[in-house]
Amino acid sequence: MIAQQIINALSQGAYYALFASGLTLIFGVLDILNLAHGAIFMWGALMSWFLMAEMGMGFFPALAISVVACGVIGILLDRAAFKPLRDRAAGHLPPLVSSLAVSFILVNLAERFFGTRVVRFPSDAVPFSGTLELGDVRLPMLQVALMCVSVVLMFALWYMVERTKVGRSIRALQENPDVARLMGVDVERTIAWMFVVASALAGVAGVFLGVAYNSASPYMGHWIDLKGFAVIILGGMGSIPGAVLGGLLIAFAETATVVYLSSDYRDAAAFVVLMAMLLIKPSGLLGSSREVRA
Amino acid sequence: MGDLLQFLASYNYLAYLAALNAILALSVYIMLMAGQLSLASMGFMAIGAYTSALLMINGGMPFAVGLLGAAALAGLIALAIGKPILRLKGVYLAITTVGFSELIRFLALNWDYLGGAMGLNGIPQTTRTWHVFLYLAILIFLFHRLDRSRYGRALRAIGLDETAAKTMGIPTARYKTLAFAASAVMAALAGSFAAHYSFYISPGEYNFSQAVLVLIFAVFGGLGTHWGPVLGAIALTLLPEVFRFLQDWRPIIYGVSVLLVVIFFPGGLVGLFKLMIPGTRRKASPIAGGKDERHGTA
Amino acid sequence: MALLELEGVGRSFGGVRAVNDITTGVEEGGLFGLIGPNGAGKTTLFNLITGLIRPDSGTVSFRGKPLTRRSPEKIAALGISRTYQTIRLFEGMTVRQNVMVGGHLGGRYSLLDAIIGRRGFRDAERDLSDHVDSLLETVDLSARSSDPAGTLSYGEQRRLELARALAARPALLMLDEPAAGMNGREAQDLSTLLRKLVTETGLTILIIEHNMSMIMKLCDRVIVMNSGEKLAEGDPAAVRNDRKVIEAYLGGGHADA
Ligand SMILES: Nc1ncnc2c1ncn2[C@@H]1O[C@H](COP(=O)(O)OP(=O)(O)OP(=O)(O)O)[C@@H](O)[C@H]1O
Ligand SMILES: [Mg+2]
Repeated sequence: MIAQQIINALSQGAYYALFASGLTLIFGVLDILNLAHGAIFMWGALMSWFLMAEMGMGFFPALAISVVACGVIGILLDRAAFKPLRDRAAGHLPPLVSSLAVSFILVNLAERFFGTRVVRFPSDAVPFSGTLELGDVRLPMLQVALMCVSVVLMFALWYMVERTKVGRSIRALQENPDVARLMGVDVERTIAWMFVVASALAGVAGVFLGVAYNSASPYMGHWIDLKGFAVIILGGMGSIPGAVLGGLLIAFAETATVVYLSSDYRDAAAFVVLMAMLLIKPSGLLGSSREVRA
Repeated sequence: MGDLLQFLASYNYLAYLAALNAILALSVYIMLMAGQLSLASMGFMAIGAYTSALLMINGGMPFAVGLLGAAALAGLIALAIGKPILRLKGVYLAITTVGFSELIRFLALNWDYLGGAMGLNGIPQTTRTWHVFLYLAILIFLFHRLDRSRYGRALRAIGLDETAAKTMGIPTARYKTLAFAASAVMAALAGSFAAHYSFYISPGEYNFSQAVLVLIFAVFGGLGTHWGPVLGAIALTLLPEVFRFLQDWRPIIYGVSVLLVVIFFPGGLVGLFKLMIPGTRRKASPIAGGKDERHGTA
Repeated sequence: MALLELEGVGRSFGGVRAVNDITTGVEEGGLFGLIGPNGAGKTTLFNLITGLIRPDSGTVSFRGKPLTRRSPEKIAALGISRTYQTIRLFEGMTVRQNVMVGGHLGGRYSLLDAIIGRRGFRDAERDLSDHVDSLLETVDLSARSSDPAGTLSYGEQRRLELARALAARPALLMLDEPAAGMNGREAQDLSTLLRKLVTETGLTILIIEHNMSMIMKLCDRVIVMNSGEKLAEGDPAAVRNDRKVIEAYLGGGHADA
């Protein structure tokens, strides 16, 4: 029983991590909360549903196309909502509102294209339909796949940030944008790449979540933004390992709440953990404390 | 004849809603004046709504006592939690205040005395539209006076550079906490009026989406003066009605309008008006992007 | 009794001893220079006095009252104003609004007075307004009074910060490199103004400056710091000829020494 719950928490944590790593990447570099991340996540899910259910595609091509499309939406999002504000150094409030406006637009467009109802994925299109049984523990293959994909993608992301040229530019920007510019970092190109990667990850999370719960709707992104923020603050803003740790922590807190208290309190768990954390160590678990020099 | 009555009734409702939204936008604005992004308004609105509703339903108290109780409870809670919470800055504060509102909502959802998910029924409908208008008018007057006093200037100074403000002798922590309490009282009273305008309240009304909508009202209208949030709330409340013929596309128009104003008019609607009316060339906008605390060095 | 007294004041950051065991004082009604090579700990000492950071040893007192446990706003209320090496104006405000904020402590009226529009409130605001106008006149910024502070030139911003600090009618004014970025003419005008403030209003000024000729001409007494320590103290002529001081500056390779 316990083992089963741990597995559930792990897979829940895996998809929180997928979603939140993009958010934390964007926050780390630009210091903004992207409130359209959940809408992109939702587009990933609905697009893959559309490709599978209406266009008769298989899971993998649908996944690939949806994820690429999410990456493109990410660039458009940056161009429409963030770049103009970045150019005039508008602070952190206007980007919050402009990304929210884009989120409205994306949700409404999804309503137009996909309808407002909750859709189901065609069962024959979804792979990994079996269950793995290890003693008492039943592991739906889909959960296993999601965990594997998360682990692989998190490593890929980590590798990208630590080892590649784009990653070095991202880290330079994170440290100090002015110095990065002087060092010859192409700031706009780097930011564009960052949005592609972050949004693609949100897309992956959307596709897997949609398939795993066998449901998707234009409104599925509403609450996940909030969870995502809790995750990245918990782990430390801007830190990718932090996003993983925060995702797991919140998933475990939620699972424990359901097991030991009641499922009524599940959604409150994230915020109780978060607020306790903020009052003790505001910089998050893995965040560097940015001391304010007087 | 029936149509006309219907029209007037809905007109009345819209006017009420616009005023209520303006009040909520002002409650967010007073914190933004001090550079603090607080999204706790929904939590305090819920506290106000439930307090006065229960005082009237279960306590048999008059409406005025319900309002007073709502304001007092919200103000006290804000004073109690203000100090630790307001040590946080920027987006950290934003998220924590969202968390506060969510916890209040969960409390309402899971506490039987508050009616749980079903909410509260049979709330006395004691709010008249003119109550809300009078309340808004009083707030506008108070903001007008605040703006012209050293307290209003101090709030703006805190928003622009908290450390510098301190060395001017401004007790920043205290002023922020007081602004937070004022914001809480404003939202709680709005919550009471709203609860007693309708017959029924439920936890779902006080969610995250509502909180950010109110923030949008304020930013859309402009943060240079208190007229910004008021105008922004009125405009965005009426916008969907004006574009009724667009039917299902209205959310897009809404989103696009907000996006355009935020991107192209840093001063919001008010800034836009000032650009259009010659002779009122805009002065420095007091809040345009406070300095990011993490880069502050002496 | 000295106006400002420091007794064994020290503060470290990580391993760096930014200020080490400083004992000194400043008497009422004079111009005092605080000099030293880059990184000597001068700004840190200012931050310790104004309460922005806490010392980890020693005491600071002002008119006999200990400052060490007080918050920056309480210290300001005792009559200490300052400017910053990296200018910290309220950039979204106009020039005039900046100075009005500086006068925050002067208006002795409550929020309620302001809301009701009581006499006390109106009188205080009128007085402040007049005071601000005369300060803007003093620093020669009257013509720019309704411009956004961010649009001023570097030298003008330094003057505005000075006016803002003066608006609180302080007893002690602490200036952190007020002439940095000014040309010779501007620096000269600033010297004249500071001297005038001291003789006419009895203000006490503590000034950090790298412009040695300005310090030597202007100050009644000079305190020299190097790597956190007090190196020398005395009248400008004595300090200029102090061997340790010369070595510190030559060793540090400081250009304008
Ligand atoms: N908040 C802080 N955190 C860490 N180190 C600090 C901090 N403030 C000052 N320091 C260090 O303390 C030392 C003294 O710095 P300070 O700014 O006081 O020098 P200064 O004499 O004002 O130099 P300058 O003439 O360049 O302005 C430096 O080594 C500096 O890096
Ligand atoms: Mg210095």
